[in-house]
Amino acid sequence: MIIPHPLLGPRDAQEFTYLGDASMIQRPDGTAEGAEDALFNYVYMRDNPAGEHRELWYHEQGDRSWLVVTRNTVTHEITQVELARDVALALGCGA
Amino acid sequence: MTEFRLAPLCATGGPAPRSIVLGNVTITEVPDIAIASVAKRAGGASALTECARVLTGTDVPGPRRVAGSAGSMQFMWTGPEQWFVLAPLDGRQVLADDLAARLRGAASVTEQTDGWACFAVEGSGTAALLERLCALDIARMEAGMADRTGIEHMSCFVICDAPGACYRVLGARSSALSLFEALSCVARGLA
Amino acid sequence: MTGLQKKRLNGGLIDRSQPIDFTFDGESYTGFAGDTLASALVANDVALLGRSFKYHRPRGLIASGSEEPNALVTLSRGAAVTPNTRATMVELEAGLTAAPQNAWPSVRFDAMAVNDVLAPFLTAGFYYKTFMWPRAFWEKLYEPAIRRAAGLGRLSTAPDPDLYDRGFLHCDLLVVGAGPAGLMAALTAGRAGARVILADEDFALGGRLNAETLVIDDAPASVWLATALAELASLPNVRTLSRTTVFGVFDHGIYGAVEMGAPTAKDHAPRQTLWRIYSKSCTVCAGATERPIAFPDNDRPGIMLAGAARTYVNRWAAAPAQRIAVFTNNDDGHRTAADLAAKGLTIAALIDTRANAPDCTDANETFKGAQVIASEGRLRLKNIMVRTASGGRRQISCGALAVSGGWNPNLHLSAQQRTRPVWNDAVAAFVPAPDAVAGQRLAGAAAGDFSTAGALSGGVNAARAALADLDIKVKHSKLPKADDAPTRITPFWYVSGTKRRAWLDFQNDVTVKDVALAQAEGFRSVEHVKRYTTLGMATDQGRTASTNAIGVMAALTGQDIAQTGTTMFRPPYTPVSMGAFAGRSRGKHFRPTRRTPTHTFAEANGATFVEVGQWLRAQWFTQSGETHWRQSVDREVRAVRNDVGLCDVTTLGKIDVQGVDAAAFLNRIYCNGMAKLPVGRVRYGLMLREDGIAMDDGTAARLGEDHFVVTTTTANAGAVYRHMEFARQCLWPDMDVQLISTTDAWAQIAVAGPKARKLLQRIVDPAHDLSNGAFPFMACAPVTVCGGLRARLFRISFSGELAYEIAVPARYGDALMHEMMAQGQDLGATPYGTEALGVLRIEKGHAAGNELNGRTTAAMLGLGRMVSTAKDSIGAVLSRRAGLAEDTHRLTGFVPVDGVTPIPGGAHLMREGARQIAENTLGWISSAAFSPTLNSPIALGFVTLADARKGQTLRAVSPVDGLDIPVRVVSPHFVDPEGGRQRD
Repeated sequence: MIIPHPLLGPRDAQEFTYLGDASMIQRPDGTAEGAEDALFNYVYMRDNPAGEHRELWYHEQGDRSWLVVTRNTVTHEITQVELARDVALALGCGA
Repeated sequence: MTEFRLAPLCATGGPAPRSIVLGNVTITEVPDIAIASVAKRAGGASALTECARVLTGTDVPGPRRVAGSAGSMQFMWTGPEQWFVLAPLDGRQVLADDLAARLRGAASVTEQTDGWACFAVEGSGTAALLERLCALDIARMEAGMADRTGIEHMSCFVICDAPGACYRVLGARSSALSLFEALSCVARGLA
Repeated sequence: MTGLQKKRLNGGLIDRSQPIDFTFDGESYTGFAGDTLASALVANDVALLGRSFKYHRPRGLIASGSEEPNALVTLSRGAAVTPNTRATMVELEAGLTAAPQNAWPSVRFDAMAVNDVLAPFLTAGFYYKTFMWPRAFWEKLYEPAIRRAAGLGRLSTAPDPDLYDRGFLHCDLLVVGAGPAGLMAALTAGRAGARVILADEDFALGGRLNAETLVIDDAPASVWLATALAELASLPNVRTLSRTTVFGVFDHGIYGAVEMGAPTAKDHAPRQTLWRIYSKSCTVCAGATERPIAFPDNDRPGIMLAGAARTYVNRWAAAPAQRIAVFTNNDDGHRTAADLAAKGLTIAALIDTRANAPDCTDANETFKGAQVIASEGRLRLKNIMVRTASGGRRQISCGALAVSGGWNPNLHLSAQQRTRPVWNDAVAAFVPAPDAVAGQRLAGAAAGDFSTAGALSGGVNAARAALADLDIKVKHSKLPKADDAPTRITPFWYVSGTKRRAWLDFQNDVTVKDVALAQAEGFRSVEHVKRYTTLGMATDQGRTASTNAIGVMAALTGQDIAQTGTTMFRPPYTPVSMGAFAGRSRGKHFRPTRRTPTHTFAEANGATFVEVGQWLRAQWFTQSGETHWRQSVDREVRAVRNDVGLCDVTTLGKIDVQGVDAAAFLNRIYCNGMAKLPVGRVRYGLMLREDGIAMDDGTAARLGEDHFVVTTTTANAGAVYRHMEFARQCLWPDMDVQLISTTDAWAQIAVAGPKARKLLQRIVDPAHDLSNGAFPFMACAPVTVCGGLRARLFRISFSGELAYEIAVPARYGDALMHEMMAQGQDLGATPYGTEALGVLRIEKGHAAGNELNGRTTAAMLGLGRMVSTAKDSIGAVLSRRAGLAEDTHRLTGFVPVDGVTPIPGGAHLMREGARQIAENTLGWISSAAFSPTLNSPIALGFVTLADARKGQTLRAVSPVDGLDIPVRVVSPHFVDPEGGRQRD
């Protein structure tokens, strides 16, 4: 599989490790009300679609960036790749 | 420079750097290269650019590029807002300290000299050698390009100094011997 | 020595100036350069090449290419012995030795041919029906017997002497197949300046141009072929790979290919290279494979595919027999008659199933609307029986029968991504589904376009379209002129109404009867029929069998073929050696080895090494006089407890963390507080997984306001770094913090024991005060050693003794170790390895990898109070959830009641008198060792209600080993429980 890295161009997926659903970017606030339920969902609940999926890949043998890859889990077609940091900032994630 | 009473070893394990000629390829260990990692801190962009200009004559390089000339100071892109600075070792003890003094908080600087083994791969057989070792499109690499990829399960940098003729391969110091053997094994098969 | 080559004709693409001697089945023969083993055997009039898989029937060649199902030989080249090699794909080379398979004592007299007589008991799925009773006999008698009889070749158990290599290629256009279509595609793209890779499985490029007597531009095709190849060779942007099979298509334009080395290559060159090809687009011009017709006893040596018969004659000047008959359902079979007759062979008869077949002037007799219904000749074809259109019978004597049932496009690469091919009535074949694989087009016979003109223009069009996708303009070139007549065919799958077996799959010995039986037993879908009968499951993957079987199934069910469909296609197209996938990753090169900076020192000092991930670490150091590892380890442990020990701990992960927000960042990563760690101090830290389970432990040393060095366990170095980068980039991208690994950059040596300070005062330069007041327990600082070398000193203790870790740039690690050994000689300085390291920490009750096994929490480790409630950190919230909080397992210590019996790691803890069943387990032993300090075996483990059980006797049981040992529950801190020694 080839992942088109936004900065480095097309790279073999073998250079990466896969983590899972990109929803992991949005970690619930551990100090907020209902944190245990929110974190339980965050850790365990997944949609697991047969189709378009936003997922996290780590360019371990490359530039060490985390990427959000939009990939169809049935056809493997990759339609979008973004730096996870940019996605996280746009979502307002932070300390 | 202070004289201390400990003698260094090369990454491949002995007191002298390894070197081998196989067919049209020469593989030489390069022990005298100082490396420091420079990672930009918030607000440090202009200081970093200024530092690069002073040391290499040009801006910090973008993805897959090296700025500066081999044999003197070079900046090599390693990740978003991160670079390796390469310089001849030259008796200099701590490249990181020099850079940190120049950058004064604009970037986080870490000494990396002893984290890496460097092999110069030279000769007309280099392209044929490298296409058997890594997934990079070696034929499309020009001088001043550098990329990081896997070579035989080792994470390595490949720097193109002269296309089809001269490259540097950097790998983790602890697996230097495995990297040297991988390079040699392929070269032997092509010789 | 038979140099006769009785069936050699004139002409052919062989070099008679280079004779090559070879051996087959113990006999010596001669062939020529350009021969395959198969063609040389045909030229030498050898027809019997092996025995079939199940029935052990005599078999010969049916094909001339990679689709050959019968002629599997065991090939010997020096020490390399390879079974199941298709004789058709072996380039003849000097000294080649080949042997037939699956026959004992000889291929002419095979004892297992009794299976043929027992055929009625060996039908499809027989092993589910026969050999079922008595049940006891299955394991002891039937299965071993079937296993011995099963399989084709035998593996050599000697090490494989061949070298295998791998590589990575990039191109704009990959062209698979160098026949007319592929050559035109490559020329078109090459002339336009695109990067082209042209691959062909054959050693001679040209595809059908080498096998047929075709005319291009009014001249023999060989003329055009030579010009085309010369032009391709002159283009620097075209790379031609012969002997290279593209065996599979993968995602996003990645293709897998195997290149075989030329027989003339140097000894040290790789024998096979696995190429991973990154293509922007691909044109598949892989040609087509002929299919036979099923009729009774259609598997005799001498019965072969019509196209193969003329390939042997045209390309290799080898005649399958002097007198040949042809059986066909299409016009292409007539071409065989014409070509063979032109070479002076006798066409005894041409039997065409079509009533409206064209006349055949090359055959002695032509039978239209007729079928071959029987054959005779056990070891070689002698005659065939023809049933004429009017129902009459005619026996025709012949030494070979050329059969053509039609052609199947080699569309495999279009069907390996879940899109099945579609049936095309016009050509009576399965053709590629449109747009089956992104970026891939097919041309020529592979696309179902069987004429030469169609192949030439198809190749051009496919290349033009591929390059258009890449915005590369193609110059117009004149298309060569060639025959464009369509081949007419009327499908005919099998001769019915007979009792004797008619073969569909030659390699797995599957007949029409087996398919009918499968249908009768309810296995109706094509996927079920395949698996129930094993048709299409042999090494040839049904290349010459599957379509016929589908035709038979359709006929039997009354469904049409389009509805019946094909089975799923998967890579590889033809078999690929495991060696090719292994490449250079064999033996000691299986994966990289990481060596510590003191590796040479360790080797020189009697170290036994242990693999820890990719690292080699000294496990213990054997001194002279020591004959058992316990002697060494016990001595090393005592040296640390009494004097001073030195241990290379470089392998533990080191991560440099810097930045304005470094402290705040680490405070969220670790479950215990890090934000207020003073500069110049180290703190033990525990990282949790987000689900509350303990992930890794280590230390964080604060070297500056915004500068930390974090350590991890050896095994988790990579995982923790990845985790921290995830937190940095994805969870808290607004934090100003930077990370980099420094594991390899610093040689780090533990200096542990009551005399550690004394030794270090001889190493660390005098400017640095190492007194207990100035450098207390858990202090850290940059220092210089040995006259000015920069270093870092950390006062941390894994052993519980007065201990430090000294770090210097890795290139000086070896020298530092030597220096400390020299300076510490009078202090009893002793190198110690991972084994002693382990004993020491078990004696101290420190958790390590065995305890952090992914199932334990901070509370279970006795570190519950480390999880701060004053802040949020990864894993903190879920570590407090009901399911985990209720778990009362706690890490504690155990000693054998008798003071002598070792406690096995992994043993389960049970009450006295409890039955050894899972329900009765109270916990488990996680780490065990012999303690020289206590002179007793000791262990750490997890047990429920540990505090309440202190002093009680339990049992450590291991049902697998039959062990049941009384143990006493004690404190996990066996040595210096107050921790005074490390603070001295």
